[in-house]
Amino acid sequence: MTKAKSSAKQKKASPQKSGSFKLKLFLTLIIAAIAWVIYLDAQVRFKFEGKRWSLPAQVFARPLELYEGQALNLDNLENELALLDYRQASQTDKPGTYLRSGSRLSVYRRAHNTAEGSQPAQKLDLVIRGDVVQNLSTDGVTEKGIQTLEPFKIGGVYPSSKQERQLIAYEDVPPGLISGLLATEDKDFFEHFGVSPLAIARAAFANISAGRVVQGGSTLTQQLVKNFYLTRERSLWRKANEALMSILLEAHYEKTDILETYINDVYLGQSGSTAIHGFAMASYFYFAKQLESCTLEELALLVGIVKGPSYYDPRRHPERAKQRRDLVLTLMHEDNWISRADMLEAQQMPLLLASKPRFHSNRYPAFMELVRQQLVAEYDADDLRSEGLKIYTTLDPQLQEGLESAIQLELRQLDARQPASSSELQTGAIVTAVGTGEVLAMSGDRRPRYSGFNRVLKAERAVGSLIKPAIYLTALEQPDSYQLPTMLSDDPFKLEFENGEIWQPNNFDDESHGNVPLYQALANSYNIASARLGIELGLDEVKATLRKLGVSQALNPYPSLLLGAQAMTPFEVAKFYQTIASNGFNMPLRAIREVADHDGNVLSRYRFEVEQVIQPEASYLLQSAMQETMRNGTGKSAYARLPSALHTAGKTGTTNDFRDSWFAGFSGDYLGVVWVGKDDNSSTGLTGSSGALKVWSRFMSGVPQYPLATPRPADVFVKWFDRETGKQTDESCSGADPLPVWGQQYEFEYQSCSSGLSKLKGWLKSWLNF
Amino acid sequence: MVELLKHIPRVGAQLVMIAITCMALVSCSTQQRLGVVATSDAASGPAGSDGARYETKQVAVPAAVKSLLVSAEQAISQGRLEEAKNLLARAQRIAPSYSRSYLLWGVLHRLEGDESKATQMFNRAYSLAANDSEKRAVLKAQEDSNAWH
Repeated sequence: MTKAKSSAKQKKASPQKSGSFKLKLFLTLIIAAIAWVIYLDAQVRFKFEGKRWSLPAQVFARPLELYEGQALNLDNLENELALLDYRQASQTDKPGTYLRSGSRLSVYRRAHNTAEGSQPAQKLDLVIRGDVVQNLSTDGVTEKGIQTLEPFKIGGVYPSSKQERQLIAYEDVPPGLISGLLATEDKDFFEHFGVSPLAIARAAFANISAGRVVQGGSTLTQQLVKNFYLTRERSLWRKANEALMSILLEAHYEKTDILETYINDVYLGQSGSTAIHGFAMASYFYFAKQLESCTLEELALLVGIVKGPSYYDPRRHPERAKQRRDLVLTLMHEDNWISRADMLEAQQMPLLLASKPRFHSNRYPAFMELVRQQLVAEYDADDLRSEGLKIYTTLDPQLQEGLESAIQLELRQLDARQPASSSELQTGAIVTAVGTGEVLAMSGDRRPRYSGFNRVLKAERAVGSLIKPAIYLTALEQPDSYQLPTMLSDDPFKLEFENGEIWQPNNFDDESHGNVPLYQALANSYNIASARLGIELGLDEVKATLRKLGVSQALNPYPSLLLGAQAMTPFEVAKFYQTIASNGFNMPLRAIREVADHDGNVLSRYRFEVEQVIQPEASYLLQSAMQETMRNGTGKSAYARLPSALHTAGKTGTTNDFRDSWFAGFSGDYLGVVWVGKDDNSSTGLTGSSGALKVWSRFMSGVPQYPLATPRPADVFVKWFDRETGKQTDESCSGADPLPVWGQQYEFEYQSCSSGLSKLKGWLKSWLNF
Repeated sequence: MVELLKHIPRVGAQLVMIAITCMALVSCSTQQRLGVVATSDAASGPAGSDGARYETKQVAVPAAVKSLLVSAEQAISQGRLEEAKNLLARAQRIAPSYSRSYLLWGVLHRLEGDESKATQMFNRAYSLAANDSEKRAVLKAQEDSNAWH
């Protein structure tokens, strides 16, 4: 009896236990599911509301400003238009086209943003004669203001994810793009709740009918979730999460927010190792224009690429891409987004693509390194790589291309003079604006695209005679003792040091020249006269002048400093020559004009700053002596290329055994510093004149510019001096040179003209002014 | 011979007039304007060694720059200093040798209370002044910030 009873009891207890277990299991699963949904919800919100993408910083060259009276060469302008991907066309009827005819150039400028605000797409007509803009008109009306072309993007600071992206706000997205997306990818986007059972059913029907997968049932929201949060793994688990997260996303956010994110996130192409994301970036990548400026057929092509950026790559598979584009247009018409006429017209258009931009490779690595250097002082490295900053620099692409061309052409010729077994000639060169200190062009290697050792910033080389202007400036700051015609001794001398060592400087030609006027000693770069002068003035005084000029590094404490036994980089040389070129005003060399956030709000502006460190009279005299270098001294071979009207001033530099060839020179507009040498410090056989000067003068001869013409200070007067004796003489005398003198009160030893005939010649010369 | 001698004063006067006219045309020395040296200008050897190169030349200033400076002056007068800075920076970049840009920078810095920067800008303006009128304008502005118009 008991057994039966207990068996019945057991039978009763088993169903209860089983039921209880099932209930517990069910509750556990529910709780787990809820927890999982909460977790997914947190994921969805965290990423959507936080920083969605790491946006690389974009770095731009200066925007070309156009105005009447501007110095501008037509060929250089055309080169810049080519960089900006403008096409020459028989009619300038679309943004991105231009037409050159004789001295006229018409360009249909693209819309763009600058520091001065938004610039619309507009037709500009220029007449350029004698390298000067004679006339500028916009849309046929004469323009008296300033117009700009969009700045050339020269590179970026990229995150490790190597993605290129530009953000666009929903309200700025062209309606044609949205309608194309809806027609092609998700007809019910504004109706469904994240997933679309209707779309799934439609896709299932289409696929079954076709016997293969011909249509997807994923919504735009699901596509976004897959790309934004998940992986491309094909599994039921991933699909289920995708569906859940899509529903959660739609529950929290507006349709327009979701669509905007999709438009900025979708993968649309590849450039080397850089992925192109978002339609705004894709528009630039395929058409070199803003998304807002795209035509209907261009928008349709971009939409078509979504399904398979590699498969429908218009550059590699143009036929396939065109078919896909035309299908998108058909779908847009079927859904009544566009008329039949518009559809047919767009389908007739050929694919018009821009040449492929290269991302993640900075075109001008030497300059970019300077930009980074100047940025990291103020911006965190992570912010630079991820906040989408826009950095507007001072680089002038026309000058940069001109510098690179000059280097390539001249070094090729100089190579021919090198022994076959020798190491390669190398270079570092920099160009700045005399008036502002902006760095306009820079090349750290003879191969300008090479992103390696940047000789402008890092190659510390002995400067040789480039140091001499500091000696002569020290002297000229003492007008009681030294003026340009002051006679200096170029006779040999020796210095004996306490340790018994002897220092005996020699001239380049191994000859001494007796007594020579100060300005000629500098113009001809006489070592002996310069060293004597430096010692007379005192090494500390010369060093103090170098400091005033902007030299900040440790200086050689020995007299050999006076002949340039001092290592500097081309950038450091440019700093101190900038002060000389700007007539005694120290100004920092700047590579950046401003930094803006990805919305274009200005974060930092780098303004012009200046400090007068040298008296203008002394500076003027020094510039005059350096002009003599170019007229009759070691720099005169520059005028085999330069126009005689282009007054310049400069200094050559050559070091022992011809290891280093230097030139630093300036006009009214540009300062250029060039170094030529070998990385292994072996001899080049080149002087400053036969090496670096050639690069400099080829560059300068290709750029329209103003000649050097510093206003003469009130306390500087022009007097006439005999070229041979340095004595004051009459203007009418043959062999007399005009020289500026600081102070009317100084008297100089006088000599009259040597002969009656020379007197007559000089008189006629001054009267008729030839 | 007597007849010839009678004509000499008149002929001589005419010759003198012709000579003076020729000299005026050939040795005309009005203040030169500084022009762009085009890339197409043929090289013809180093520049000559006459005294003319020490004459101060008036900078050719584009109309667009003068327009910018007028706008900058208005902005300064109305206290819109940030806008004025942008206009001045642009004007100075296009015509860096034009004294007036720096004069206005000096005025602006002084209004901001930065006397040190103002002095440096006035110094720069003075150093670039192409004639006495421009120099006087700088000195006047330096003495009295209200006298810069």
